[in-house]
This record gives sequence, structure tokens and C-alpha cells, in this order.
Amino acid sequence: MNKTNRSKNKKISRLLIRSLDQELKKKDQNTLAEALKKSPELQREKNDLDAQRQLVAGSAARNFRPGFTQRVLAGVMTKERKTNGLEKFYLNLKLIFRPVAVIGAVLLLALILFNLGAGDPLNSDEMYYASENTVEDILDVSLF
Amino acid sequence: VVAAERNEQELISAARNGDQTAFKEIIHKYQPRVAATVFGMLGHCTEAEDIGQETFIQFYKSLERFRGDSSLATYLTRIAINLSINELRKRKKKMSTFASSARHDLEHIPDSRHPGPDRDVQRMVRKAVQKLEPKFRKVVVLRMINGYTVKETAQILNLPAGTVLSRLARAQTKLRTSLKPLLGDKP
Repeated sequence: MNKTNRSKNKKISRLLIRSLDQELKKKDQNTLAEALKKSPELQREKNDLDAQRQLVAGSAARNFRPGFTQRVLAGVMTKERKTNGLEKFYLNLKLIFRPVAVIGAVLLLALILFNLGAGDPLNSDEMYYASENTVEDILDVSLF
Repeated sequence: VVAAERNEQELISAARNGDQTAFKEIIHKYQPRVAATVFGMLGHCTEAEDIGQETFIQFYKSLERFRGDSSLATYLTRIAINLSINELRKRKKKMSTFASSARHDLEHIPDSRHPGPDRDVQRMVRKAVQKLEPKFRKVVVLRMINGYTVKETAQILNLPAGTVLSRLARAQTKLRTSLKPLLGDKP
């Protein structure tokens, strides 16, 4: 089999596999249909793939053992009981304080914005201002 | 309103309001899909049943947060897949400590719907699915077993559709090798 034929077969095989999960473009659909008509081997491959899909689809158990619903409900009850008490108290506390935290954050943000907008900008001279008085000057000040 | 007649939205809001019958109805309705997912991911074992239960318990806990962006079936499947993956991780950790975990296989439990040779075929197929790496198993379970579209599978797994397609193609090839005896394939 030459290289061109091999790559063509590979392409057809890929199309065949893709056709199981995706709608092919019209052109690809025609290519595949023609190839399937011409090649019994490809047709067999398609049948095998279909059969394989059916086997896999039919293999899974789709039911739990009897009493599953009751077991789930019992599980829910147990979890609920566990969340009672202290955990529930903390949960309520969190719920109560959530609005307080949100309002506080908004107020803080508003305060910062207000200060930025209305307040005097900080002056670096003022920030780093140091008195020129010496210790002696300060001590010389008569208190009486 | 009779529980059986209620649609998804009605069932959810009733369950939110503490209607136990509605929650039971949800379990009954979606159990097959969740079962197919967890058994497909973990094999036919008691752990899978536990994960199935946990799926519904987690859903119950998140009832308030469920916004209905996806269908209930998709939401439950996503929970089931995530819990199964966690379970597989735990298993992997355990495997290094205990060579053979104390997993209780349910394969021996008689299945009246598929007696005799049919059950053997099913067992072989399940084994072949279990042999797949989890990343391939996930797409097989969702697409081939649960029948989700490629787009839905991609959404559930949070993967690009192209990745789902390529994983499906590779999984198909791997399965074919394992299932050769059943398909009567010539090499």
C-alpha cells in the first residue's frame, strides 16, 4: 500500500470514529459514505464500532440496591443532626454579621474616598518636618 | 399536585421547602443516571453505592445554591463525577498501603434482568471500561454510557470539545483491544 493510500485510509478511519460523536460536514459525510460503499472492510469496522458502543452503553448498572432512597434520607438526617448545635450557632452568627460586615466595608470605603477628595493633601515638608531647636534651646525655656 | 406529575423546577422548589416526597421523587427519577455514572467510574462495588448516596446528600445540602443554570441531571452527574474522582484518588493512595483494598465487589449479586451469558459479557465490558485511565473513563461514562452529547460532556468536565473528541477516539481504540474476543474481531 503506498503512502497516499495509507494516509487516505487513516483519514477515513478518523472520519468514521468522529461520525459516532459529531455530525460531519456534508463533504466529509459524502466521503465517508462513498468509502463505506466501496470497502466491506470499512463497513465491518463501522459495525464493530457500533457493536462496541452498544456493549459499553448496555454494560453499566443503572440501579442501586433496593432501599437506596431510604439510605440517602438517613444520610441526610445524620448530616443534618451533625450540623445542629455549635455548627449551626456559628452559621447563624455568620449570617447575622454578614450585613454588618458589608455595611462597615461600604462605610470605610466611603470614608477613604471622602478623605481623598476633601482632605488637604499631605505635604512631604510637613511630613518630614523636624524642629530646628536643639536640646539646649528646649531646656533653656524658663518655666516660671 | 401529585409528585409524579411535577416537573424539575416544581420538584426543586418543593424540596427546598422541606417536602420530603419531592426529594424522594428526585432520587427516584435521577437514580439511574447517577448509578450509571458512579458504577461506570468506580466499578460495580459497594463504594460506588456510597458515592451514589453521597451525590444526593451533597445535592440536598446545595439545594439553596442550585440556580438551575444546567439541568438537574447534568448537575447531579457533575457531583457524581467529582466525588468519583475523589474516590479514585483515595483509592490510589490506599493502593500503595494495601495491595488489595477491601472493596466489596457486587458482581456476584444475581441480576435477574441479565441472566447467564449476558452477565458475563457485561462483566467483561465493565472490566474493559475499568481498565481505562480515569481521564478516558470519564468521557466514556458520560458520552457512551450516559448518552450526553460531546458538548454536554465537555461542559460537565470543563474541557474543550476537541479534547473530549480526541479522548473518546483514544478510548475507543483501547476498548477495542480489550473487547476483541467479544466482537469477533480479526487482528
